[in-house]
Amino acid sequence: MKRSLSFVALLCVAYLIPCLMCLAPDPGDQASVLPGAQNLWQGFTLPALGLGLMVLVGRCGLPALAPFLAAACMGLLLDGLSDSNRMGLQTITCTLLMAGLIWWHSVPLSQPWQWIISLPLATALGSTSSFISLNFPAGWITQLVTEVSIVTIVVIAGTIVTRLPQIYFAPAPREVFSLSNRWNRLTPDS
Amino acid sequence: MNDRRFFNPLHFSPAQALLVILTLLVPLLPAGMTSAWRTTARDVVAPGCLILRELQVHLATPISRQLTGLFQHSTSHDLQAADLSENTASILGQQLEREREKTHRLTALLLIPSHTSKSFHPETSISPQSSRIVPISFEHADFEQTSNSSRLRAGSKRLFVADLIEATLLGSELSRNWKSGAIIAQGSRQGIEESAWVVKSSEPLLDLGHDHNIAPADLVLTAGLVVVGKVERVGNWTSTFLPVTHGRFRCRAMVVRQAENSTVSQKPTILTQTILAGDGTQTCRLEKISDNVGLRVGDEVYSLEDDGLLNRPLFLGTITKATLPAEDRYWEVQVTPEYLHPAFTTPDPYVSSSSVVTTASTPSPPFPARLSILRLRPNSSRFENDSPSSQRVQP
Repeated sequence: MKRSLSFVALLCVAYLIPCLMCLAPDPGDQASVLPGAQNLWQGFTLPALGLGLMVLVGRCGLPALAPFLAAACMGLLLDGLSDSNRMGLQTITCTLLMAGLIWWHSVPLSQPWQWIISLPLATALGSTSSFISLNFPAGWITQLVTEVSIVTIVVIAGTIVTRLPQIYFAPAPREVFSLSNRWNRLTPDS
Repeated sequence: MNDRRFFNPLHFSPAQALLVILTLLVPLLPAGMTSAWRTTARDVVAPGCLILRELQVHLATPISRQLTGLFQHSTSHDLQAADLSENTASILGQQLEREREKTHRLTALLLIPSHTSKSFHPETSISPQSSRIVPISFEHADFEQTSNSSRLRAGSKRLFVADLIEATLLGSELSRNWKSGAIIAQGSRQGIEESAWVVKSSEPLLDLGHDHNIAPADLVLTAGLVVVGKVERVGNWTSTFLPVTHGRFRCRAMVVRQAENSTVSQKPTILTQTILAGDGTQTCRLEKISDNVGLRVGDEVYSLEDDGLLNRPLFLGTITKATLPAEDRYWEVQVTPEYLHPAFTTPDPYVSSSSVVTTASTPSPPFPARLSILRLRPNSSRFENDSPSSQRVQP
């Protein structure tokens, strides 16, 4: 049951990321929080975060093939929705990045620093591939730095939020048994 | 999964290897398959987008209400709107229709190059032939400012001027009786005879003919300056017209995109000039638009006339579908007109169901019974002032 739900969640992530990217805010929309939010929406920020989410969900007892498949599906959808003539670029990028991510996070319990490194790196790689295909358009460095910064901030925020309960509600560590402890107990100061 | 390691690159399973190989083969797919996939991907994503948009609206509404908490009136209006009766809904529908027409007129105004306002000369004298003939500028109060702002108006009078002649669309029963000769037979004693061309035609009828100097190819408009058709045959008392969706309707057109931020200062952009042709169903198509033009659904189509007689374009329809086939360098564009004539609102039984396109998301408003015919005539005041012999010219 848990596996089935995890697989459904994986497919949902793979489906919703391209949907979200279709809802790019209008360039002149006064309501958009970030200036130039449309560029970020169309960059590799959302797919990179989606890949990270897929790895997280895929670790709930699913074989490695499942996130692989979900990433390939997401890439295919992104390719279908993109205006670029280079069909398959997003599919290959997403699949290979997923391979890298699940290799990097192969240990059952990943450390926060691993996420803080892996997802911005995935963003940089994914964006760079599209920049190469577009022959390095003007302002690509700024765009790349912005995308990587945003993903880093999101990952750090996500890590803090998910780790807070562990910090606050973790059981107190057991007192280590040692001779000195035992002696201290037997001979209190007061 | 009991292994400690989630993914071991040294134990790459055949399925994973196959998947990677398949993804590497995607760029080698033929162009036909990729274009088909593009269409499919958009269809697949559409429901998700719809759900997310709904979610966005639901989430945004409480926030906006909180932000505009001082405006209690708007909240109460929203609550009242929830209890709309049928009458209120129809009134709102009419208001919406008026607003849409106003938008089209304003867009048309924004499309006017600045020099045309100088060259436009509104005809102030109404033709004595019929009290139903009205100059365009007086039909629409929105345009008076443009025409009055011209200081050069007195110095340059146009040789030809445009008039709007009010006409009424004859209903199906009245048209049938008229064409069948039932009415004509009664009136034949009083000298009423109708042209055989009109009587034999199956197209819709207008109640004006030669008696109002209507000519074939005159445009048929609504009050909001939306083109609904073109006069086909002119009889003595009535005329037939081709609705814009008719297979034989063709006119020059331009594709216009509204400015992204809807400020007054930003003019709409003219993307391209093309030919609009009816496709015989409920829509029209645009012909020969090259693939280097960036079209999208929602772009508007306006008429294009190079005579310089009209000082504003006329609205034709909205692009509801635009596809670029991989094998072709021209767009396939579908345009849905503002009003659909009743003859075209039901699918043709002789056309297979797969070819009937029903992409219009909102139902078309009812076809207006009160229409106008755009007629060009010589400027009578010009002849009166410039040439004494012009008295012979009949407008």
